[in-house]
Amino acid sequence: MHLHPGDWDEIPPATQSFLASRLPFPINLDAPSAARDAISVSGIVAEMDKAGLSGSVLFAVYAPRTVGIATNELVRDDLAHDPQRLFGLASLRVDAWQTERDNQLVRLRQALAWPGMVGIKLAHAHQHFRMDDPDYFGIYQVATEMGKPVYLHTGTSPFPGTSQEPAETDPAYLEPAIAAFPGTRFILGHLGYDFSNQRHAGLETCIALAGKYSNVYLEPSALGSKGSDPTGENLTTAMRRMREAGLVDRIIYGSDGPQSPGFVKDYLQRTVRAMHLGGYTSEEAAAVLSGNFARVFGATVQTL
Amino acid sequence: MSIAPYRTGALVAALLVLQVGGGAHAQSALDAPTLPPAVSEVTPIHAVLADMLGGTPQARHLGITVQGGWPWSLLRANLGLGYRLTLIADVETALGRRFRPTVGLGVRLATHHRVRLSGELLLGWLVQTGVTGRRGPTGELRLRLALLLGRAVPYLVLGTRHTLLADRTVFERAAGSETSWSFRQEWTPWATLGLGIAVTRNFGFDVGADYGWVDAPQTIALPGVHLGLHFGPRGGL
Repeated sequence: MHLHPGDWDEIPPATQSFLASRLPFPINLDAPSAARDAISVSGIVAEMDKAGLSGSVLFAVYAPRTVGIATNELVRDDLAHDPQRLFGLASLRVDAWQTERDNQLVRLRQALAWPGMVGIKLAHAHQHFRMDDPDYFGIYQVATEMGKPVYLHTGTSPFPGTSQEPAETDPAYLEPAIAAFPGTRFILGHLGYDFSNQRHAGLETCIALAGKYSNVYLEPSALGSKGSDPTGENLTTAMRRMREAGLVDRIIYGSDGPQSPGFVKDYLQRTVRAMHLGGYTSEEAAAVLSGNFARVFGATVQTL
Repeated sequence: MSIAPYRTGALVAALLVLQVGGGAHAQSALDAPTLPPAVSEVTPIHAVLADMLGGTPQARHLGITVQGGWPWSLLRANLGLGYRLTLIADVETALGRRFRPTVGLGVRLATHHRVRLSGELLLGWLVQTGVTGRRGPTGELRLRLALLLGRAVPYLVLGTRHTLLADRTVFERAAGSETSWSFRQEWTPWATLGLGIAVTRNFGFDVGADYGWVDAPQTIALPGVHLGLHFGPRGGL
């Protein structure tokens, strides 16, 4: 899971520049063209095919000051491209919460009712709100009522303008919400990884939360990429530690991306290698790669 | 007045040498008691490629290179100044989005009938447009090595490019705005490996592979290829 469709023009200039700087020269000289191809649904499906992935989850994002906006409507339209293989996570704006809360929650409910919308995406660090602020717990109430899991970005982020505050990055701050909504499934994205310093910062916190609460799930995306984990050691450590903690049935595979051509395939290979080094059986690996996702999201993942 | 046939031949040959090589050669040819070397021996077939790929043409000789490729294309002029020195003017672009006009001097470091080795120092200005836009003064040191093997001229160029980039940050506060500047360097190590083929003494072409690691070492850069057309030398400027 965990791929980002989008609209280049909805990305803030500083983030456009950041994204362009990650592209190889001379591709970065015309970053808009390269990015439009990569984040289009046809580009994403092509990367899935290259990786041999039968299904993926596309994320809506509303973070106008950091990573930009990919609307629920954009995700809905992208899902129609291949509804058997693509699933969506809806999101909502929180930047005018005091005046727009009710309206945003209504729109979120509507989006969650669309075919293929299987959950909610939040990123406190990108959207600039505290993980423990009860003003926003209405989002989890909607998730509970509609039976949709909530995916949460945890950890720092390299994107310009992202909050580095612990209350918006440290998964420990999610515990009040996790405890208050036992019927909502919380998926802790990136395992609280510190992308700024390329180190595990929240891994043990995530494992502890998953051990304590049965509604917590773990998603090790992005932290094991070549850029964030050149040796592969951090991803291997994460996979090994989660298995040692008896949490294999809580791990949901994610890659993040598409980032650059070949990234999706490469991340899958790095994860399989990390699981092999971490002592996973083939049954456990299959659960991580697809079975747990299908169970948690109530989705049917086809076999290619 | 009558002129003996062999004298006539010597005069014609001397005039040809004068056209190609300059006055000093003409004088010695006139004084020579026997026939001078043929023109082909004075100006080898690879002359244009030796001057443009190996660098540093003779005094007052002008050579032009037009090169197209992915991602690099350029237009270059080399004018021999004498005393092993060459004036170089160079405009380079990457995909029409990054431009680098430069001027500089080349100096012949070693010469042999089979080898041309030159060093070049260029100064100019870099302009890159788009999301990754940047601009600033730039300089390059490079070495050119060409092997002169008849019509075939394999060559190698190694360079190190440095560009000074300035970042301006403006803080808008209630009490007014505050501007701060920071500077950083963009380093681009460069290598070109290619093969030139001389068609005539005044025209040749080359194909080569370029690797310019722009903003090394924190970036990734893809290699490129080019086709170059070389014109010259044109003497007597």
